Amino acid sequence: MSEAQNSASEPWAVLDVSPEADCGQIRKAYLAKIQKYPPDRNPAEFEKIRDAYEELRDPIRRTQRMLLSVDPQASVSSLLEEGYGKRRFVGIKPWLAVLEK
Amino acid sequence: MAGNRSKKRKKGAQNTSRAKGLSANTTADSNRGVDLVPEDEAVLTTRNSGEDGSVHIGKYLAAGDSKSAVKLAKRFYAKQESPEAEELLVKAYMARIESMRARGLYVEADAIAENVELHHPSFSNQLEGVRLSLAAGAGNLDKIATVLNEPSLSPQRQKMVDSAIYGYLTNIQALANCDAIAADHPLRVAAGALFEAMESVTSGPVESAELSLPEVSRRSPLAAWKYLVRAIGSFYRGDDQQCREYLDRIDLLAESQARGCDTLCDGSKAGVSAPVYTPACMELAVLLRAMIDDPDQAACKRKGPVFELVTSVVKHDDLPLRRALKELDTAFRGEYLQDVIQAVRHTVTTCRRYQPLLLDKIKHHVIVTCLRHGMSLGKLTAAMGGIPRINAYFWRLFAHDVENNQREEFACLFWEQFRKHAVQEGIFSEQGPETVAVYLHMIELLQRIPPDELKNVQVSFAEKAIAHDLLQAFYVNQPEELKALGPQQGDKSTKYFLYPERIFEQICSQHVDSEIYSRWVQYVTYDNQDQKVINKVLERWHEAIPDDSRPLLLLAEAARLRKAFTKALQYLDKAEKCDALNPKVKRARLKMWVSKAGAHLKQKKPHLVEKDCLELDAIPQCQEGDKPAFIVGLRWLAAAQAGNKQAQQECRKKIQDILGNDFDSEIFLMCIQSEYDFKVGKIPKIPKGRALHDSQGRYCLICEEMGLQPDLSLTTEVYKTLKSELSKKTIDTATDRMLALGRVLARDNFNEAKRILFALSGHGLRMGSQNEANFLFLRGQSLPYFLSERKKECFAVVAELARRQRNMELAAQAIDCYRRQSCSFWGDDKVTASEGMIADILDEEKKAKNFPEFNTKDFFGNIKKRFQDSPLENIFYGDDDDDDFDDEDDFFDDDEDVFFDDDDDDLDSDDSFGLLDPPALPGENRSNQQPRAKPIPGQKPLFDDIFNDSKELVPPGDAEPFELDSLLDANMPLDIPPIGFGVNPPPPPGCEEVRSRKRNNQRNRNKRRRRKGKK
Repeated sequence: MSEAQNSASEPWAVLDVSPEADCGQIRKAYLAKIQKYPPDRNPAEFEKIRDAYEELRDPIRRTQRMLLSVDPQASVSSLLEEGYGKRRFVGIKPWLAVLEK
Repeated sequence: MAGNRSKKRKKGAQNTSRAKGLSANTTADSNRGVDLVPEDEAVLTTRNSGEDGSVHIGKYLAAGDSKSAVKLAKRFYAKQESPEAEELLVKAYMARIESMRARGLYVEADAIAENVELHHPSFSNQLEGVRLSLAAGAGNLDKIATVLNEPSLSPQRQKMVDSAIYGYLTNIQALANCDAIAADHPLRVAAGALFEAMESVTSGPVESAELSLPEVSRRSPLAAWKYLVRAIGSFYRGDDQQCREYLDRIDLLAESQARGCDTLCDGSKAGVSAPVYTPACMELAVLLRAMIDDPDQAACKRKGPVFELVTSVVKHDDLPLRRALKELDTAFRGEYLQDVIQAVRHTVTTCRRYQPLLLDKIKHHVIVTCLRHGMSLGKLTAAMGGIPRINAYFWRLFAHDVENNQREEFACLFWEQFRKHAVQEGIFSEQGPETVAVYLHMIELLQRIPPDELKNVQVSFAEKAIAHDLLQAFYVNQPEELKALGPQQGDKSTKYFLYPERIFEQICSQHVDSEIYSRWVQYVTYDNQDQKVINKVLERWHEAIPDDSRPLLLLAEAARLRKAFTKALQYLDKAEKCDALNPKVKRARLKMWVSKAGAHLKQKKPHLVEKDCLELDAIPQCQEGDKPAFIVGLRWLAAAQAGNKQAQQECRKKIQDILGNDFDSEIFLMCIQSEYDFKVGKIPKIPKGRALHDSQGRYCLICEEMGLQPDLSLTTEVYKTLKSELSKKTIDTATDRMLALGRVLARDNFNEAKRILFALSGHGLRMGSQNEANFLFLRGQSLPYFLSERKKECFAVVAELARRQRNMELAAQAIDCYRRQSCSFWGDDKVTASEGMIADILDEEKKAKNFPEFNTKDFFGNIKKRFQDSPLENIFYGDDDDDDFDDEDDFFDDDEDVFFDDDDDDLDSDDSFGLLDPPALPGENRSNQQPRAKPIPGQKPLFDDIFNDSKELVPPGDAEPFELDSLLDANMPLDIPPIGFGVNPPPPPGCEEVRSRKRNNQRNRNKRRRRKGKK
């Protein structure tokens, strides 16, 4: 997501996937999102998610968006992930490695 | 001999104490240990000195020197052979095992335990517990499974297992996957749930409710893990307080174990085996607490996994790189190349240390930024420590940048390189839809180039091998597999990516999709290509997708337009076969017969018109509503041609009956006469309660239903009447008739038609309701050309409203009009309007009653105001001087030539603005948009501007910004030829003159600045 410089309204940001995500990852993210925001409880959010999914499910439209997802005029410092000091998810391995003797 | 042994022992004791690195107290003990050996010898030689022996062994154990303790205890037991000496020996062995376990030597420790168990069977109970804990620590769960699977497992042995798992099991995945334990065993279920929870909690945000973990009970030996997982969840949610609370619970658990240690550890013979207080996951809990309070300290404790975890999770080591990148950004914005070089060097060094994987990406951005600013890449390449590996990311970045600078032909070249690299890197497949997307993007870019200029570009690329020379520069010093993607020696062939038709062919050869064919047809239609070319594409579409009725309908329409009715009927027959229920197919047949009848009327063959009318009569749809009036109207015209007055009278009567009133029928006959070029009389007197626009609207509606696009000839009389009728406050006309009349007027380019349409759409908008979108669309079409922004806003709102009403046809029309206004063929920009914008535009358009007029005075006044008010505009137009237009003299300075330039080939973005997009006029006060800089045939000045600017940026001697090749050192690998960005394609005539004029203008501006500065 860091390289995409996506605004919050970008479909990738709505579904919380990277611009390089494939169909499977997009569908998985979409299903997770609609489970979190079902249409009966969050109609507005659901519509946003649905629109984003419609935008990304078609590989041609998705790729056309992806082509221009990197802003060449953005500052080089934006290449680093946003949110200095934020805790990053690194998976279980490094955590369990601490316990290994 | 004995003396030698004594010396060796003495030396051994010294070495052992040093190796252990004992604390101050321990060191004191070990110093004493030097004297212990001779004493030991004395102790061990006398049978009655058992008490002294145990004291000395205890001293070794207290000092942590388990090895010496074991040695002494062994000799002591050999001499004494008493139960006390045996217990002391086992105790020393236990200490030794514990010490080995602490170092992760589980196998060795287990071997000792096994040996001890063999020689001292009376201690087998304690040793079994130790061996189980060793197995748990090693992740070897078979032994634990054997105990758990015992048919009658005593509570004592259960506690032993629990103790081993509680204190030593660090690999919960091994327990979860241990097949030797039953799948539904609570321990295995708990371990599985814990591992899963830990995996999800360390991989993404998890709500606290999802970490209830009912599988792990409070009394489970894995309870500490449950608190740990919850603590990690809170840690990632940023809820440090809750994280601390969970960590406190782990501490409490450890304390409770310490209080009642014999509940979990085997302490039947206190002092023999070390009691287990702390859970196996305690080390993580301690680290987590340190990470919350002070991540640096946590990481500094020691290197290895702890350091890696802390740095990767908390990212505390990014800061120097972040600072370096910010400095680089500042340097790029600054004035000196030397600063940039220094910043690049520092960034590369820092990045190599902190984020080596990001290095290539940063280098790619640096190269693209430098090329954009016209900086010397030679020195920068040296500062970067070499060129990075060229990959798909680089080409994507570069192509996008070049595209932003409106060098579409080069952008296409680089997108092509991106495609090749993406295929090689496995991002795309050669035949996949992603490749199609790249091709479509290239077509869109080519569409932005005016056709004449595109032809020039195609010729230049073909004749001068521009692509080959340019790309070669990027592939020097690249690995062989990448060089294969670059230009090949002697490859000067014509590049397909500059020819939209070839790209379409390429796409269609690998991807059969009606949408692509539809776009191809749109392209050839927009490109005003020969109908034969369009038909070829349509035929190809039909061949590829025979079940699609769209190409057949388009072919039929093309045949109808060239009056090849037989051919058109053949296509329609085919279309009916594949899509009989499609209303468009049915309407096409109707339209075809109406056209045929019209053609026969124009050919003055009334007898054939009757045949056509009979065909029309046979179509069921023709009998609905007012449509029969149209067929009778055709018969009336045929009767007039044949001179059959009686038939004419009969037809007139029929039309009156169908339409229900005389005035409407008279206007209908007038209009149909006009449609087929018959002589038209005057407008009959308008009876009270009737209106001309209503009757004309009715006629238009009938025509539309018959598939005809009527053409109302607006005579002065008609125009005056309509103007008078529509100037009333309200009108009483059916909405569908108003809309039909509006659509006809919208197609009329006559200025008076636009005025009537403006008034008509105003009435429609004020009616409100569902048709607001339709009337706003008519309003947008009625607005004059110089209000392009206002038109665009109307179309954007229409598109949004139509989308909401699911009127996709209207939405598509609005988007099409919007893109025409934006000079964008396909347009990536999504045409949308916010709620506020919709309300504002509707409100403003409803209030607008006067047709906007072009006013020269306002035009120039607004330009001046615009420059005074908006520094952004000045920047956009390439003028960096804020006070250039602060007085009249400056504004109309001859040097500037802003408006009165004689050159037709005005290339200067400074100069061309007024002509491309006039500023806001009365009635258009929402112009906060930037006018789009249209590509001007024959020239593309943007790279030149960039290099011009960079001449100011880069001090003389550092770079020559005008010539790209001179920016590059002779020995640097990235040697971009002069036909690069600023200079290619061959400068069109007048280019140099314009550049020179620009330089003069710049010089004059600088002079004025200096003068002002002196004042």
